[in-house]
Amino acid sequence: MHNAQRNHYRKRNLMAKKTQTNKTSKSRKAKRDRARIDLFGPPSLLPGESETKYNELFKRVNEELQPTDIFEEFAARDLANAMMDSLRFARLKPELLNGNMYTGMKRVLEPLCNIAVQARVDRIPVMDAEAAAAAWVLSEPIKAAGVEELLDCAGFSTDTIVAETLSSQMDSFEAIDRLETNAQARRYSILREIWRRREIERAASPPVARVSQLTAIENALANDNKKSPKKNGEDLDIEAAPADTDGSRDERKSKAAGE
Amino acid sequence: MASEKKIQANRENARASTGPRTVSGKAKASCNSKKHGLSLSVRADPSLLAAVYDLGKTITGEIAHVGLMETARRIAASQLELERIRTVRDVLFSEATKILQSKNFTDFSCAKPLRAIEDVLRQMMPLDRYERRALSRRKSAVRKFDLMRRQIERMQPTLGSGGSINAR
Repeated sequence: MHNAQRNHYRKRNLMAKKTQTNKTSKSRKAKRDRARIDLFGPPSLLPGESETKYNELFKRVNEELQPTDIFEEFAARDLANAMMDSLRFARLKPELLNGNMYTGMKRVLEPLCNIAVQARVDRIPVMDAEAAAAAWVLSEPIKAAGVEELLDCAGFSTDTIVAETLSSQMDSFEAIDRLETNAQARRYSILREIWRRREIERAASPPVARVSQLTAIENALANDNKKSPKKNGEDLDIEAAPADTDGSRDERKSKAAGE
Repeated sequence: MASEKKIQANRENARASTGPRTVSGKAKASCNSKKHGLSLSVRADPSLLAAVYDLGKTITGEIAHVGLMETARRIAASQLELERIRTVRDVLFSEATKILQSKNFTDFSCAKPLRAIEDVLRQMMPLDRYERRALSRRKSAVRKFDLMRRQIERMQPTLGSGGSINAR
């Protein structure tokens, strides 16, 4: 067989192996995702909300957090939900503002729409505040133009109407703000708890690891001593034990030397 | 202080009104204090008990320890409570969105939708309190679970960590 042909087969085999590994990892990931859905149920979405966007958010939260156990999975889910809530409240505010623009406009127009004021402006027809506000909101061409002109004459702008609308719905805006702040507080509290738990796990895990490592070494030593009782501890395969960084290897070496 | 005449009139009025009389009226009035049922524990709901036990088993994984199982069930109950609160909040959210997007808003003479959005927001407020409590319960139960698991693992180092994702 020529070298080129051999290389070609080798490459093909390597590619096949790679694809197989990718396929297995992908199926594992899909299985894990399915397990997540089974555990939490379908995502809680409102009508009109995209499931893909929620899944994207949940995926990114998971990528960032890298949950290691079921409690962190719970926390990741709660975090995604709290973020969704914040977004929903943020969306609710402009909706509320838009929906009540009419009230704001009416409140601005009421003092302007009396005959005394309108009589001073020749071109503007006399109009009722309610009808004028409704026309402005619905963008009826003729009346809306008249309203704009009236506002210009009075020196008011759209900001005045927004401010008036805001003041008319202050209670609702405050309630939404409070709910949004609560959602954010929930998010921070969940994150704080995750970090706290990880810190504790990290602080608690080294001694346990060391005990298991030492047990493994002791077993290895005992086996080697059985096999070659003449050999001293320095010839033993200490490198085979799991690597550590906290100086337990020195302890082991000294222990081995002692034996 | 109400006058003697007013007190007498109030008593007469009270005697005239004796509450609901029909069976359906009485049944309806008996549910007056019921709103969302979130103040009730998940464990008091028989339909959710099986779910609590299942989730508890998933949390403990391979470790079979009575105390640990009980703590896991507490965690599971808190988790299901959170899910329940979430469902109620979603319903209210969708109601609020519907109100804001409804065509009633263009019916300018109708002031009802505005009152409704305030009502919906007012209903959402206590949910935060319930959720905070459930989260706090879950947090303390998880702390207890971790502590117990560590103690058990110290005694039996061969046991795997409970509640791992891979254990599912």
